[in-house]
Amino acid sequence: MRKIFRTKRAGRVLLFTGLCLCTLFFIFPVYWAVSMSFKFKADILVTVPQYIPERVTLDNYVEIIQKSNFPIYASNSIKVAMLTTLICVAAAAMAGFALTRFAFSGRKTISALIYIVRMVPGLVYTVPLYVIYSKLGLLDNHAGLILAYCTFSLPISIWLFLNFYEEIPREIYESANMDGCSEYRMFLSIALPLVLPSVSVVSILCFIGAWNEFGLALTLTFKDQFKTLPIAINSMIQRERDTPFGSIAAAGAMSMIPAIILSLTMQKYIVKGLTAGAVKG
Amino acid sequence: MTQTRVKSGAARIRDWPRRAAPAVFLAPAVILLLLISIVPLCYSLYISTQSYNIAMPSSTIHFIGLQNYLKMLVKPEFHKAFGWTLQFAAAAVTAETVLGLAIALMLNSENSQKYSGLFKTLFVIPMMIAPVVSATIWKLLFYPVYGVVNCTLELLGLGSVNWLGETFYAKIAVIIVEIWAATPFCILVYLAALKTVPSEMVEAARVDGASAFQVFFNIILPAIRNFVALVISIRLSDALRVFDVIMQLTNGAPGVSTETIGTTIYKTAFRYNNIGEGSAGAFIFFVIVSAVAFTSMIFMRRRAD
Repeated sequence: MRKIFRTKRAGRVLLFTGLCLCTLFFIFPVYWAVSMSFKFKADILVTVPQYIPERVTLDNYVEIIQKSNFPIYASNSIKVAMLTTLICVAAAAMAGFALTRFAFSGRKTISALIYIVRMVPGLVYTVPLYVIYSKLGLLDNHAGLILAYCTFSLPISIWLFLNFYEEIPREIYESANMDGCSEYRMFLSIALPLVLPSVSVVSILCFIGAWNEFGLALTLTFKDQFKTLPIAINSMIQRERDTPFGSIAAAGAMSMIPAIILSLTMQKYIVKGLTAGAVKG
Repeated sequence: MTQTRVKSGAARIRDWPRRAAPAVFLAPAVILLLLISIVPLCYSLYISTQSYNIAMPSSTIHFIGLQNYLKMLVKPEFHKAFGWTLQFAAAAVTAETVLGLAIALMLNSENSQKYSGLFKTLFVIPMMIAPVVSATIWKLLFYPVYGVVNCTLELLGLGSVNWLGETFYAKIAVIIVEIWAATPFCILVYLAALKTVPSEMVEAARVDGASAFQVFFNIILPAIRNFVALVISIRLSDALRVFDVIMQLTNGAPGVSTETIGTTIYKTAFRYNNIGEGSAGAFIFFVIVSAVAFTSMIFMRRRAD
């Protein structure tokens, strides 16, 4: 009996160590960027690394906030990601409602349309959108970027909404129908409140998608005043010959804030959204 | 008779908001999808048949049929990029599947239930960070002299490695970053899959004296094989599209050894301004990615029978 207990305990220790080692691999880069952002330059450029900073400073943050365009890039990113989320969630919530609530001809065509858009790699759109946007004067324009991000987030958002609407019992709509409730009121005061938790799932995915997007922003924006964070961070490391480790780490750390906050607080929703979206897709 | 007809006409007029409802609800999404996705796709198909260089005057643009496709397909750089992208996807997805399954099994064990939530939260973080930002961080980690990876290797007496300067190590570095960023997704799906395995079956096998390996290969793996196939097919088509990480971590260097299909097409279109050829390349790329996704789906269905 005692032996079994001992092997069980050894197994538990082994398991915990294994998990900690894996976590170290996944978390260390994030930890390193954050800790580097608080270090003095002299403490960064050393050959014996300070795994735990011996002294901390806000110099790197002061530098990027006061002496670079970082605040502009950050506010561009916030603006683009928030508007994308708003428009995409509204459009997807409405489309999902129509696809679950009504039987109409053309339903299949629309589902096929959504599937095609989901399958095509983003890279395929860079050339035509560049040419079309340059003709319409939408290059270096956040509206163009936001509309594109909305479109590419729509398929997965609509699919997620479909899953959630299907969970609503039909009887609710039927009794509302008897009471003379219009489809529009039904959407606003019955369906939408019932899928509210799902709205947060879709919002997180849309926000992070727009916040992180790189390829399209790289082709559609050129002027500093319109750049988003990923583009700005990309050019930070290439332009300078002497790599500004501290500033890059500070910029990286600040651009990770939404990802870290959302992961720590909304883990359940993220897991739900990503696994449901993947299985459906 | 006339009265009823009038009545139904009036009812129809009163009823129009109801009949228009599907169209009203679908309009925003469908307009966006058509204008920003379908129209550009058709336009791109048109561009791909033109000799179109954005650095040249528009009078030089003319129809050349399928020549752009042929030029792209015979390009040695394209072949090289194609081979490396396949290697990259195969290596990264294999490692992600094994590591993802191992971690999911550890998290699913009854011994780790107390703290599995915390670990899960920590594993979600890499997945949420922008690929460009994670590539940037890893680039700092891989720096030759002051990078923490090399410093640590030196401290351990293993000697430093020229991570991004030598072809072999640059390729390894790119694969490591991909594994880092994508394994969390695999862990989460596998964890959901493991919850569907009936625990009585596992218990029964254990009581009969089956070893942990036997339980895994004979009971757990067959039960979740559809999920595994699904994750592999999703991850393969994502890995083939790799772009951000390459652009930031190596930018194709050393030489063109880490250029992927994605970066080659992007550079053809926007560095060399040949958007006709770039469009053609993008469609070839689309066909390759769809072919891989489709084949893995067939593979998945066959196994599901």
